[in-house]
Amino acid sequence: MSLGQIFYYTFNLFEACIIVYVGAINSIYLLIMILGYFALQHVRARLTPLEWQVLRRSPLLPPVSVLAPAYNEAATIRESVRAMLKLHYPDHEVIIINDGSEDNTLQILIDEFHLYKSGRAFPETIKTMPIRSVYESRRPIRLVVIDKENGGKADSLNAGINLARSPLISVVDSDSLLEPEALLYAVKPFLEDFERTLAVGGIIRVANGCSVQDGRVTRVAAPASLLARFQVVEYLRAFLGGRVAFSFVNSLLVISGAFGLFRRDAITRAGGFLHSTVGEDMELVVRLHRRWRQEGRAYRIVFVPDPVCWTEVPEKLKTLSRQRNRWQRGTVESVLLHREMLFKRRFGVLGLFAFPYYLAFEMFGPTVELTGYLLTGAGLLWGLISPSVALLFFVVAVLFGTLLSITSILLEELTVRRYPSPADVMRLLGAAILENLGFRQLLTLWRTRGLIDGLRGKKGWGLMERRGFRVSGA
Amino acid sequence: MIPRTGRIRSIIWTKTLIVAAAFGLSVWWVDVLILARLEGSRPLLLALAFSLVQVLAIFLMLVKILSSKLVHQLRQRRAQRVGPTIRARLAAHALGSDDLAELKKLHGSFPDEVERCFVDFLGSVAGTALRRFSELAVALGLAARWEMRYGSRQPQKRREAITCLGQLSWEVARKTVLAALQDQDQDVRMEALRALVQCGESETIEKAFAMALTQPLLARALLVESLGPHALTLSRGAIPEALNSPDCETVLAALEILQGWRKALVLPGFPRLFRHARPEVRARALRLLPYLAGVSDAASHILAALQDGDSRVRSGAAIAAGRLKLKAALPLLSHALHEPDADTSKAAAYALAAMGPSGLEILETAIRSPRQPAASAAVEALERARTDRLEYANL
Repeated sequence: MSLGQIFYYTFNLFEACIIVYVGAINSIYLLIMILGYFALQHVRARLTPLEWQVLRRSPLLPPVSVLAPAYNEAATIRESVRAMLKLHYPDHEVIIINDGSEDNTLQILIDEFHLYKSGRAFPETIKTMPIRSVYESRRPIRLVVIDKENGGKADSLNAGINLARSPLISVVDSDSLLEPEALLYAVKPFLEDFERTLAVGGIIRVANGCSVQDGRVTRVAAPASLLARFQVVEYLRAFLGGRVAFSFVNSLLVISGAFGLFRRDAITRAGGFLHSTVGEDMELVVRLHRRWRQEGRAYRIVFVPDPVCWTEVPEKLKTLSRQRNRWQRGTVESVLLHREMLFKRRFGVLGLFAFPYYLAFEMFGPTVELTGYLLTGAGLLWGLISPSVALLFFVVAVLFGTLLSITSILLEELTVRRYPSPADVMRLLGAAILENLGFRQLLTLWRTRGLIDGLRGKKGWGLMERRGFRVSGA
Repeated sequence: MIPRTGRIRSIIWTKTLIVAAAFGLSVWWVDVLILARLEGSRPLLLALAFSLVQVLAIFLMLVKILSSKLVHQLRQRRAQRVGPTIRARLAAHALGSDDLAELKKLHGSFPDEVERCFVDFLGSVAGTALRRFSELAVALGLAARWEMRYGSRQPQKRREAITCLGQLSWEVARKTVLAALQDQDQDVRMEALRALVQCGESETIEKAFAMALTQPLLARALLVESLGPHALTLSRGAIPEALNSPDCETVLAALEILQGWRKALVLPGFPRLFRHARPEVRARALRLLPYLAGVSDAASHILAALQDGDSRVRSGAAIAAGRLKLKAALPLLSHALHEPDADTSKAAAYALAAMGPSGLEILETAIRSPRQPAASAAVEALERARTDRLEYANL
């Protein structure tokens, strides 16, 4: 066999492996979506509106400390804090951690909420960057602001955990908007089984295009920007399919930093959020799994689709690429840090399926797919692969992906139905089709870059731009 | 019996595997029977078959969505057309007029709308009106319909049935609601408990209270408010019985409910809990102490507890001392302030802050102490006292 023939066969073998791989990802994801759909029907909150009202007033609900790190959030901090203070929950406090902001975030808070320097004590259970001051409000509102030296999100959250006194900690992004009942919905799994429940995650939705008033989303609409619509589709696919299914098998590896509810003692026992990773949200959850499984203790980490957090997604390619790079790096760091769990029976479904899934498909998947695009293009160009092979790759990579995206929009319509306007649903369906013709490929490129950066040990968040929420009628 | 959670998980897995198997079979069918006739590479044809089946599934979902929307719209239009008439008749019936014949006629033509309006009204009637409505439910066959619905295999339907039956008079709903207390589904049992509380008879209230103690916290959180008006009745029997239970979890659950009420109940035998074997029971009982009435020699219990071996108990005792402004506890509180346990130190600091000048003096000395957490707890408590914000203690 000549060198040319060896090269030819190797090329085609490689192409075949990639096709099988990409086809497998999309097929497995379809199965996950089916499981997620049926699980969603059973796990959705089954209390009546009257019962939610009763619960909202119940003195037996455990107190919650809502932690929100803030770095240069002057554009949105007022609305966000007001919304957090007005959450429908009988006993909660809001702790904003100003992480050495360079804009006037702190001054806005001081002026808006009549803050003064207080003597509130807190143990330094978890080591953090130095705290400059702790502020509380002269008004009868449960707001505390920690002003500290810059140390990153993980460090800020740890400072908040040190200061918090409630048995439950809610971690939110300061630029996110929580629905009024978000805490109430999130606390329900704890009320069902406090001892076993370590953490609860909720669904994150895209606020772009929605109308916001007084820190509340008053009208849900699809974003005007195509880029934001692509992200809506992505989020729906990830949350309504993936997270529900993984939660069902107690292998939920990610609770979004935008909104999560944790038992404080579980976090302090696990050592708090890790500084050395940009994916501190995923890393903590993986660490909780690992620790509790190693200790052989019964536990659960749950995703509930009812508490909703709205967040602004990037509408510029550069900002989005930074964000996806960071997320991918976070995944890489979390997987590598806890690689000991891979394929180990004592970690159950997590070790045998969920974690290997993340390694194989979330971590390396985009790179394999990107390689597929390049190889297919090159192969066609140089006549190394036949058109039917190229078409096969297109079918498994693009067509399967498109159908999955469309399915996720329809599942949203069948289950939660948050987009009341049929026109918006049609726009999202359109985005689900277009998403796979360019945007998905860009994502694979950014995520591959993220994988390389993660393996090289790159740190840092990059600059995230905020536009602020659009006020109703504006 | 497979536990509820296990049963639900089995159902979910079964449905998933059935759909996945159906999908796979459909792909095979399309591939072998339709696409096999076409020329082309097998893998490509298989992939196309997969895509075709998925397109079909999407089409079916679209049909379901559109038909649900259409049915919903039709229902809404019908409700708008006949709803006002039904509601007017029901309101008149509640007020005493005899609209039975007309309502039967409406029920014959629009059974779902009548049921919906009826259930909406049920939540807002009481006394004589409730009795009339209960009789109406029997006359229209609604009660029988709900009882039949309780026989459904779907927990959600059973729950809806109990929700409706639970709002009728006890004589009408009794048998089914009592049966629902043993239901496999927790939400159905919860609904039955609420129905028991709603009926207001002392025997059923006591039963509901006793059952609530064995349910998860969610049940107690939902029931604590509706059980509150019956606290006095419960304090004569069910509560002391629960507090005397050999099961620690039952005792803790009862204390939890009492803490939620914060009513000045007289509970003979309560001081026995200050000597309970489990420290969490002792601690919780001490936190509750300031709210109760008729506890003899409360001061000596608090003083003894401030010297307990468990920090949670000392913390609870400090909180109680602060709420009762027990001046005799000043020396022990001063000692507790300097404990290494942050919670106890903080509780002692707040208790001292509540004592007035003598307590504040101890705190002012402590702020100069190099020992933590005493100094920082003292600073915080002093500041709270001076800004009149002691209620934000988070203790």
